[in-house]
Amino acid sequence: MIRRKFLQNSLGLATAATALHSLSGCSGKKDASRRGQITFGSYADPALDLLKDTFLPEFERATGIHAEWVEADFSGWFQKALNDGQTKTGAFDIYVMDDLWVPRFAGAGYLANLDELGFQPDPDFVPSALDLGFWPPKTGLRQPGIDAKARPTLYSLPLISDCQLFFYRNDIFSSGSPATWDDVLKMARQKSDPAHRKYGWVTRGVKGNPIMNSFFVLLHDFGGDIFGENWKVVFNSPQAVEALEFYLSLLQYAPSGVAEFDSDQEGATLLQGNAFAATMWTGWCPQTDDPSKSRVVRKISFDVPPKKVNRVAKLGLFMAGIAAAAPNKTGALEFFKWFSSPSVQLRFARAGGAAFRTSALRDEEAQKKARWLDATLRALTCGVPSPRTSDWSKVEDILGTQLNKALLEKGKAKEHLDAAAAEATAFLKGAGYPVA
Amino acid sequence: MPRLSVTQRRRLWFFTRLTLIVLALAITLLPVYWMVNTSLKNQVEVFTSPPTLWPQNLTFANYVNVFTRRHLGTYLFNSLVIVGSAVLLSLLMGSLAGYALARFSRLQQKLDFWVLAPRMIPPIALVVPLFLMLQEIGLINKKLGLILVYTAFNLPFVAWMMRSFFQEIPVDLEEAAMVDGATRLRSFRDIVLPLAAPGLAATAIFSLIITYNEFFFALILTSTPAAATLPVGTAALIGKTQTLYGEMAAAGVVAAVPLVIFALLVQRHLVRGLTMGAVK
Amino acid sequence: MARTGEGGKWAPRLLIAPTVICALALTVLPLGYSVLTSLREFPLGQSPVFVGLRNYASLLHDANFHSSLGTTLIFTVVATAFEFLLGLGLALLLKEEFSFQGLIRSSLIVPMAIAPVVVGIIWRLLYGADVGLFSFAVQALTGKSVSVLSSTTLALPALILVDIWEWTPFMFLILLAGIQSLPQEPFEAARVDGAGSWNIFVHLTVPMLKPVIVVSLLIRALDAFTVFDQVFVLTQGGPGTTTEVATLMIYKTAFRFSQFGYGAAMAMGLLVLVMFFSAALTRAFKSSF
Repeated sequence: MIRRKFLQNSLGLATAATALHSLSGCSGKKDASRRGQITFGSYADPALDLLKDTFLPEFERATGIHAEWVEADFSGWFQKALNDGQTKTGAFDIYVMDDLWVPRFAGAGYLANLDELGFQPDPDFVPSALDLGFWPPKTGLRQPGIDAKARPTLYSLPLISDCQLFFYRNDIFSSGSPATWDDVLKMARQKSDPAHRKYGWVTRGVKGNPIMNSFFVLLHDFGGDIFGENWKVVFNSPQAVEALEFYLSLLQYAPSGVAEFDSDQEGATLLQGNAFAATMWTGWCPQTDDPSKSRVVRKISFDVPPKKVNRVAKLGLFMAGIAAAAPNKTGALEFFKWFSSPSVQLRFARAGGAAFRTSALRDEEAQKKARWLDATLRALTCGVPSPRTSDWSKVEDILGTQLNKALLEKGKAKEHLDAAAAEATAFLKGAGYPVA
Repeated sequence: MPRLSVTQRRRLWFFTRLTLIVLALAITLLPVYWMVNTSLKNQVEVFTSPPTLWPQNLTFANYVNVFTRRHLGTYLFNSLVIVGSAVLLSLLMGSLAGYALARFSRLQQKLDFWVLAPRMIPPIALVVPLFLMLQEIGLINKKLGLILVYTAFNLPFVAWMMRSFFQEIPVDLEEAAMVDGATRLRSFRDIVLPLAAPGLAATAIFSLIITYNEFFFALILTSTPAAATLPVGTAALIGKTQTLYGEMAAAGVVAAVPLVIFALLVQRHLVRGLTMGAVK
Repeated sequence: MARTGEGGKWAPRLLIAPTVICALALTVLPLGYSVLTSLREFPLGQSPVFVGLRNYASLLHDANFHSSLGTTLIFTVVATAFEFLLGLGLALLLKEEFSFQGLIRSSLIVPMAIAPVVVGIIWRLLYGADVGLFSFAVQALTGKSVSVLSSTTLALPALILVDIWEWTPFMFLILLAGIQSLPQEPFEAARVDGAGSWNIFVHLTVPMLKPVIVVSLLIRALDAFTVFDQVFVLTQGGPGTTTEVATLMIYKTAFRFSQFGYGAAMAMGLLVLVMFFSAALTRAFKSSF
């Protein structure tokens, strides 16, 4: 009947198409026309807009290589990149990565060796930014399974110098950025008015990565750390407990729903003019002066987070690496050379981008255009990254869950940190770490 | 309570029914309205408190952005082509299979489990093997690859659903027609199919919606806008440090439009037509 | 009900064959691969190591995973039950003709048509502490400021509400179609005999609808077991671990922590739960076949 015929035809067509396709031997990978093209795979983020919209077209004009930019959501891109690396598909030439991913990607061999490809960084690169691209890490502990004597190799370069800065209202902190955390607490106590939505502090409270990132700076500023000697878990040390208790005391002056806040709500609260201070990523900086995004144009200033015992910022750079199975390694390398050249970096900074060359970040004209570059450079210098191990995600999840619980209960800092430490130690032991 | 007259009871029922329907509509459409509302706001207004019921600074920038900067047009085209083909194929083959399952119960018992099994497995467990299989035949990042995968997924589901609808229709109707000289095929077309039309319409709508909004496989089995679908493109608006709510809402509105149009066109089959009464 | 054993056995087999092949290709092969994966571990930078049943042994002691299975079960049962009842109610309300019926029916299925990730985002906005319409309304009505997604008691019900909002249209659609496909004569006969609406409903409509009811419950429950998008966007499993559903845990384990083997074992664990559940559900309705 007619329907049967249609059915048979469609089926036949589909089978024929598939057969033809496989017969043609086309595996979809090494297409000759891609000599003149490189494919970026990345997550979406406003911090990348400048690169995408202005600098990639410029790159094409300068070298004739077309840059194709493929985007997915943050976790989706991570899965895709992992899959691409694992199966050696080579759908992408350059992976844009969170610096957290470098241990996993480099350690598993998904990234091309930049030393071998002939890339030579120079001292003008901000050292802390450049160091994140080495595997095994240049300084600090090495995770089990990694040869303790292996020479650190360069696998990835910084792309955007994203780090956490202290954002504060310059009309409220009228005498400049608060020097210590106690000053922040004092101002919050004096001027907070939750009934009228005036919050002395806002932060991320969602369990896991968000709250961990928010707490990280305080942890280090109070003299605490995540791991001590030989990977011993030390985030339940007395200093860490003090840091958490301080964090909880700040929360009295934060919006009540802070436990469900992620970057979006944190940023929104600050940009709506409802909060006095927060530690946020540099990607938010340009938005503070955009009237379609902010109600506090020119009222936000930036600095390195205040001091307690130490004064640190948290690093969360966007890194770029060349895929091990990339179809156009030469083209990708050319991009790295072009984008990291002093002139391009300078232009990038002058356009408001978070460059990774010291000279570019120091440039007067750039700093005039983008008020946050000076703070960015200082933050990079005293910046601390997340622990350099591929198992950090799991530990972060454990600690982040307990931090969230402490936030919900508005107390019991020591109990939750101890619980997290116990669970993390058990996990690390099972994963082969030499924890005591 | 005094006994109500028939007319009074009918009127009471009418008003009750009306109220309930209005309530259902309100609850259903409020978040939809909010989506449209958000899509017309700029970022600063999305997060204003108290929330504004209608944008104070109405802007179409979100819609412009999703088409010019986020390739939504391409994703829309891909989705329509891929999903349309897959659903069509699976409806055709699946209904016939469902009919066979309904009328030949011996097979039915053996296959019950296997037909539903693909839906029981969390997609995460299936993704890598599927990726490897498709890579072998060179269909990664190709529309045809996704069409095949979606057809394969929908087929058991359509067969299962249609089987239960066919089962509702008594065999005697067909047998009566066949006694009168019609072939099985004829009786299928003239008697069974019209009676099962509501079921087919429902299955079509549901199959289309599920496939259209499928995210995980589309994410892993495609890599570039050449073959990626709307859900992938929409989710890409979730960034590392920020989510673009306005643009996401706009993308959501654009993505929902084809589905709503389809539903409007097909939903009249959800109700039995007037011709159906003339069965005996 | 249907039993025609004609000659020509090949015809039905041919019709069913593609379906069976697809079902097998999508289950047996990938499942085999998953089981294989669950028997290995994937240390960084080295080739996979065969560890036998070690992952499953760890699973038996993993309290976090057990509680996530519990959360998933609660979510599934409550959501599906409400969706069924509300969907049935709507179907009964709308089975007769009335003005604007096309428009109203289409409007009622719109929630289902919106991409799940967008549903998550919109409800995040609606539930949001200061900026959400929902919170604002509650505050205006009761004077108490509520932040649903950061409440350990309200977060899971809030998620279930989102699911109910999104998927009741599915139940409505299927049950409406089911009711419409029922032959008229038994109902006419019953009415002629003087049976009341409630009696007709309980003793005629429901039994005749049984195949459709089972299918709709099963499909919805299976999908609810694998809920992911809304939880990911709205709560990420928080506050605490109150909305940590199994799929979220599997996702984090396999992808964030790169423990592919353990994640695959977890997926098998979830599968076992799902199979038990569907078997129980089917058996409960078996008497009608």
